Formats: sequence, structure tokens, C-alpha cells
Amino acid sequence: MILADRLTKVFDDRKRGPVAAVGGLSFACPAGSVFSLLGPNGAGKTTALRMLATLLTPTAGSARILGHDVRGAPHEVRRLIGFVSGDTRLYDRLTPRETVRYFARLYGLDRATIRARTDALFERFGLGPFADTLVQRLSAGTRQKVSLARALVHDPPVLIVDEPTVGLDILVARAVLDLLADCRREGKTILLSTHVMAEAERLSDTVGILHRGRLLACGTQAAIRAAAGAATLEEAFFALVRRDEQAGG
Amino acid sequence: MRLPALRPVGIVYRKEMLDLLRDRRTLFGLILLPILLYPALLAGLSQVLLHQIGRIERQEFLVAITGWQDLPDLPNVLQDSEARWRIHRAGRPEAGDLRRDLAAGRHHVLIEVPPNAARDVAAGGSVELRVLYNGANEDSLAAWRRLVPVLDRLRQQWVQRRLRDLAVDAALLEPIRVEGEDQATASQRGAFHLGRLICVMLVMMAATGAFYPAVDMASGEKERGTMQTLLVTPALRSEIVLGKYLAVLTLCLTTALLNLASMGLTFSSVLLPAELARAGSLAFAPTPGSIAVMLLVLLPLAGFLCAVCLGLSAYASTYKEAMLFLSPFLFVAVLGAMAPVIPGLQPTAGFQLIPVANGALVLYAVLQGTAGVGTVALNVAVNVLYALLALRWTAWIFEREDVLLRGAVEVDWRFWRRPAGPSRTHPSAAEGVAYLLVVIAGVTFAGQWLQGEPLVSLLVVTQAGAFFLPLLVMLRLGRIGARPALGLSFPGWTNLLVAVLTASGVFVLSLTLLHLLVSLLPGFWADLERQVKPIEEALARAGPAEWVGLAALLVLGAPLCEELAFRGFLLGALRPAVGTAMAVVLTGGLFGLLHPPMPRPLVLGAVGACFALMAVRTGSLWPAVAAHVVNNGLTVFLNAIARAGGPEGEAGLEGLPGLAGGPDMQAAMGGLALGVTVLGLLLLRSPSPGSAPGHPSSN
Repeated sequence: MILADRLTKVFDDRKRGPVAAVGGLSFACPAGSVFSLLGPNGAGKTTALRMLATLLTPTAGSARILGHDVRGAPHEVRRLIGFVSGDTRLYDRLTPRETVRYFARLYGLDRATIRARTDALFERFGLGPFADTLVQRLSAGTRQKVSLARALVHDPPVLIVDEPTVGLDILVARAVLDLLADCRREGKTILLSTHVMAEAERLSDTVGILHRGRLLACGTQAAIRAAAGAATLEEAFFALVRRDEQAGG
Repeated sequence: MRLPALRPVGIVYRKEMLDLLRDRRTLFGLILLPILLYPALLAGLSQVLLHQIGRIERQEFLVAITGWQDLPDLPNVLQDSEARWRIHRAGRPEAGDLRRDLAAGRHHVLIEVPPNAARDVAAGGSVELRVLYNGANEDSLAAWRRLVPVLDRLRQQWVQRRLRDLAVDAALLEPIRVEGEDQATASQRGAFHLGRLICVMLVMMAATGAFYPAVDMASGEKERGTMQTLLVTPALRSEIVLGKYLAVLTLCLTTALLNLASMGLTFSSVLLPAELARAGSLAFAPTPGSIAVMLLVLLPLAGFLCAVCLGLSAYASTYKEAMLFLSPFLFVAVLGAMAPVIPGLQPTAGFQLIPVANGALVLYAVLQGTAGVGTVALNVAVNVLYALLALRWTAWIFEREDVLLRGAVEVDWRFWRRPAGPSRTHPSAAEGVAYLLVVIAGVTFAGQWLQGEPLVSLLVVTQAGAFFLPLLVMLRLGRIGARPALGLSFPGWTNLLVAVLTASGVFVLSLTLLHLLVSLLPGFWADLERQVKPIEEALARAGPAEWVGLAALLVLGAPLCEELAFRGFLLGALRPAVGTAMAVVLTGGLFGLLHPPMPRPLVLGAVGACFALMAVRTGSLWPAVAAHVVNNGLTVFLNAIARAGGPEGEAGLEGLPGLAGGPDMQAAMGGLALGVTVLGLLLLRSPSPGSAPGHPSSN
């Protein structure tokens, strides 16, 4: 289970003074389910995910991943999560096999497990033909698959994925979403951030609408639609954001 | 939190090495270039040098002589000499044109013979030959150097002739003949002459060798977006830093050693052109023992360079920014590497504290065979300490999310009309460094401009111009609140009282330490006296009114300005950037460095660190100011007592406590002072739980 309790991150901006990128974010994502954070650019999705991935320390509030506090036990949390975002890129001068092995070793896996996991992931993601090609020569889609393989090599129970289909063509984006759906079927808990409503609609059990660092609504897709009085998740999103802007939030 | 484990360090290290060795720029710049550079450079340079030497030897110099008829021996002597001369015999009226020709390079030298020169010389008189040459023309200078022995031969001919006429033995004029004989072996001469270049290049290449991998592994990794991929793994930040650091160190040492080997081979007789080797009687053949000791000295020096480069690179957010941060460091490191080139420098205990320069000079001493075990051991110990401090700082940078995940540093050029908003509570590290540089420049220039002026003028200009005004400007331009940034809140009377009492302990302790260092390093005493003398003399010469003014500047003005600068602005700027412990050490060290000569920087560095601790523990600047006032007040007061009580020559530091009495007395006073200092520092407490960010209390 992923549990965020009034999670807050304030940055000290030279011009604007203290700015709350995320303010009081609370949600719960039960084990084996998918929670999507929806929001426009600059809503605070990436900051929230970075706090949950232990890259940023919360200014206030707390978060627990499978019972481990992100602030108090960051190393335990890192062992339990696979984190993929636009800022977790790959080493250009390594091959996909070397990349995945490198991270597997950092997760403390033994040689036999690394070989087995790498072979299985490469077969599943169709990376076999590219396994020994330098990453710098791979297409964006293949790189994203290698990134997912890198994040899954230690078989983490929790996957945190930030905007997984940005910059990918429609076919690769579909393949990536299929992979995430597979992970969900395997029982992994997935925290997804996206601004593509179709992705959220397809994958999510619960959804949180984030705007200007604050959670406007949180619940099942049906609950969100009902709360906004909208027929689709996209319409609900626009209605909630518009209402927040009109309220001067 | 667990301690760093070897396995993750090794994993990161192996990956970094693999990554770098796949980079053609690394292979070319750090490995191939040194292998090819020296043979190509030396072979090319020596060929050019030999060609030029040959050309000058074969060159025919154009010499114009006006009034040659008055000294007919002159053209004959020139023609008989080994050098080739083309003589233009000219009349005196042509002298003006010939001078212009000389300036235009049409003649190399012009000799002006005075009228009746031969007749006057024959009559036993003395004439002056004017030789005009162009000091800004290579050929003219060479002609002038060739001409000097020729004219000397002419002079000797005339002397011999006169002595013959007088029937005097020439030996009478030369009772002593001096024959110098160089006892150094060719390899000693090689170590002496070539060693300078080799050591300079070795340290420079070590710095260069650390530069690129450090940039690539930290800021390069940030820019390529792979840093976060690494940071979400369970590897500790310290393990990541150590892995990267060892990779940078490996490449740095590889580059340095390849350079050493390449230079050694190039300078050895194998590649040294035979003519050059014969001409200079040089040989470069360091013993295996000296090479081993050089490696021992090089290792911690390279360790320090690598740690600083990696830390600076990690602090930068982009490749370009890393270049910007590292270039000044590289420039300073190169300056330090030049130490062996400065004649007469010795690796004394004080000099060993200067980073980089200490290693370069000890490497040179090792190569010459003059470095003792103590010198090498001290050098290794100092550089290991520097390397560990720098590595700790680098590891701390890697713990900082605001540094690791921030964007490029942005400069807002509209800062002077920044919209009104909440003022900042502490300056940035860059502002702190900028202010420090302004203070150093101000103090240096004030010292130069006001050399010889009354001490009062120097103190007023320095305190107001170098410390106070720049501080006001920095606070204003940066919209920094003076009260929180400088820690101007009132600390409470108890803290002030404790600070004053602690200051007496710090004062005695500093004198004891100073005495100990001077007794260990007696060579520094003269420098120390030279520095203190002008202040003592100014106080002694001053009338009552001037004495009060001087004492006020020394006892109140200087402490206030220095505390505002170091324990106020600089400490507030450095604490968020490097952590409290490092900021205390740094501000203390920098404060010490502003108080030459050795060993004052060491003592005042420790005193400055004590004052910084007072500011940190109370969250206020005033205890540090009070302690500094007490410190300077005691110095002036005891100086006045010493002057009043003893004859002129006995006044000064010798009369102060800690420098008087036997060793037992000094040890007892030092121990007591240490106890008072530690107890005082422990008793200081922040009066309020919420302190300003620039000066938060440690409680």
C-alpha cells in the first residue's frame, strides 16, 4: 500500500519566496491497484512522485510505502520501488544488457538471478535484438522499454511511473501501457502520473486530480465523474480545474 | 544508517570506468595525448632549438663602425674572431643614418669610435667605445653578446702591449685565477633542471586528468538525466560518491603516470637528441626508490584534486556550469603546480599547508634527493587530510537534493529593481564567496595604497572600505535582511557574559599555541615580529588622544567589521551550502589566512572557528563580537603594560602570558585555557527556539 498523509513540498524561490509545489497531498493506493495522479504541467505530479521515490524530502507530512516511511527509511523504500520518469534516463555508452545488469547489481541481486531476470525481461519486452547495442543508438521507444526493464529488474512490488508515454509514438505508447497493465495483473502496486486521460481511464482503479499542488478530488473514476457531474473523466478533470481556477485556488 | 559497503562502491566504480573508457574523448585526452605529447613536443622543440642554435652560430652579423680609421685594430679583431661579421666602415657624419638603420634592423650593432682613439690609447689614455644595439631585436641582442668577448680581447691586447712596454709580467695583474668545477653528476643536473618541468607537468596533468572524468561523472550525469536513475537505487550516496571518486582517481593517476613515463622516456638519453644531451651534460634517470616515493606523494595530492573536482562538478547542474566552476580551480591548481619553478622555495612545515603547491615542491625535492622522511610524511599526512575533507564535502553535496536536482544557476540582471517582496534570510554561497573576494581585494589594495601612511588611516580605510561598505552593498543588492542574515538578534546577557569569559580562555590558548608553533618553527619568529612591530610602534608613538583612537579601531572597529564579515555574512552564506561543521572550519580558516604571516593563520584560524561556534550555538553574532573585542582588548592592554613596565626592547609579544614562564607553567596555563574554552562553548545556548535560517542555533 502507498499512503500519503498531508505530503507537502515547499521550494525556496529566489524571486517568489517560498513556493508550495505540493501542498497537503493525501491519498491511499491499496496493494495491487493502480493510482493515477492527473494534472496539467506544473501541477506538482513529478514533485509528489519524487518525494515518494525518496529523491526529495517532504517539507511536511509523511508517506509510507508498504509500511516504510519515505523520510525515515529511504533505503528500504528504494528496494521496494521501481521508478521511471522522464528524468531517469539511461547511460548512452552502455548496452541495455549492461544497464539492466548494473542496476540489478546495485539492488544486490546475485549473478544467476540477474541472468534469469534480464533474459525474462528482455524476452517480454522484445529487447533481445538490441540487448548488446549501445543505448545511444536505440530509438526512444526501445529506450523506454529498457527503462522499464531497468526499473523492474529487482521485481519490485511497487512501480512509480511518471508520464510513461511522453514523446513516444502511438504504437510504442500502447506497448508501454500494455506492460503496465501486465504489471498490475501480476499484483504490483502502481502509482502513475499522467496528463493523458485515456491512459488513466484505461489503467486506474483510483484517480487523484492535482492542480497547483493541491488535490482537488480523489476516488474511483466513477466517484470523480459523479463529484464533477461529468460523463467522462476528461470532462470531470476540466470541470474541477475550471472550478478551482474560478475560486482563485 | 548503515556504513558504506565495498560491493556497491565496486559496482559503481566498474560501471564508471567502463562508461569512460568507451568515450573516445577520454581515451584521446587522458591516455593517448600524454603518450604522444612529450615525444612529439620535445623532439619537435629540440629540433627547432638546435636548428636555431645552429642558425645563430652560422649567422653573419652586420656591424657598422663609425670612425673606424681611428681604431684600425677593431675591424681586424672582428675579422679574426670565430663569429662571422660583415663590417660596414662608415664615417662619423653617417652616425645618424646608421642609428636609424639599427632601429630598422638593417644593422645588428653600431660601434661609435671616438676621434683619435688609437692615438689616445697608445699614449696611455682611456677611450670609450659606444656600442649601440637593439634590445628588442633577437639578432641584435645575439650580435651584442658575440661582440662583448671580441671587444674584451681587443682590450686585453692593449693591456698586454702596455705591460710589455713597461716590461711588467702579465701575471702581476692576475694573482688569482678562478676555475669553477661542477661536482654534480649528469643525473643530478638532470633532476635539478628537468625535474622542475617534470614536477610542474606532473601536477598539472594530474589536475587535468581529474578535470574531465569529474565533469563527466557528476554534472555530465545530471545533464544527461541519469543521476536520478542512480539515486533511486538502494546504494548509499556515500557509496555512489566513493565509486565515482575512485574512478576519477584512477583516470587522474593513469594520466599523471602516463605523463611521468612519457616525460621520463622523452627526457632520458633514449629520446633526448645526442647534441642536446652533450651540450647540457644532462641525464634524467630517477632511481626506483625516488619514483616510488614520488608515487607516494602523488597519490594523496591526486586524491585531493579529484575530490575537489568531483565536488565542484556535483555542485554544478550542467556541463557548462561545471566548466565554469572547475576552470578557476584548475587555474589555481596550475599556479600551485608552478611552485618548483620559483627559485629558493623550500618545503617548510608552513609551506606544506598550501594545497597543491606543497605536493609539487615535495615531488621536486624527492626527485632531487633532498626530501627527508619527515618532509614526505608531513606532506602525505597533510594531503591525505585535505583529500578526506574534500571527499567529505563532495559526499555532502551528493546528499543535497536542492543541489542534485536543481536547474542551472540563473542570474537576474534586474536585481537592482527587484520587486518588493520578503527579504531573504541568508545570502547564497556565491554571494558569500563574492563578498570574501571583495574583502580580500579591498584589504590588499588598501595595504598597498596606504603603505607608509599612518596606521589610523589604514585601519579606517580597511574597516570602512573593505569590510563595511561592501557588506552594505551586498545586503542591499541581494535584498538580504541584515538582522537574520548576520545574526544581529540579542543573545541575552548570560550568553554575552559566558562569551567574554570564554574569550579569555581562547586568548590564553591562542598565545600558548602561538608560542608552541614558534618554538617548533623558530624561522617564523622574525616574520611575526615584522608584522606586529608597526602596530606596537604606532601605539607607543601615539599621544593620548591618538592612542585612544587607535585602540578603539583595534579593539572595537576591527572585531566588529571582521565578525560581521566572517561570522556574520560568510558563515550565514556557507552554512546552508556546506553544512555547519564545514562552514565553521572554512570561516575559521579563511579568517586565519587573512592574518599572515605563519604561524598566525593557524592560530587565528582556530580562534576564528571558536568565534564561529559561539555564533552558531547562540544563533547571534554578538557573543563572537564580544569575544573578539576581549581578545583584541587584552592584546592592546597587555602590550601597553609590557611597554610601560620594561625597557623598549623587551616590549611586545614576549611579555604576554603563555609566552612567559617555563614549559610546565605554559602547559598548565594552556590546559586551563582549553578547559575554560570548552566549558564556555558548551555553556552557550540559543535564548529562543526559533532562530534565523542564516544563524540557527545548534540546539
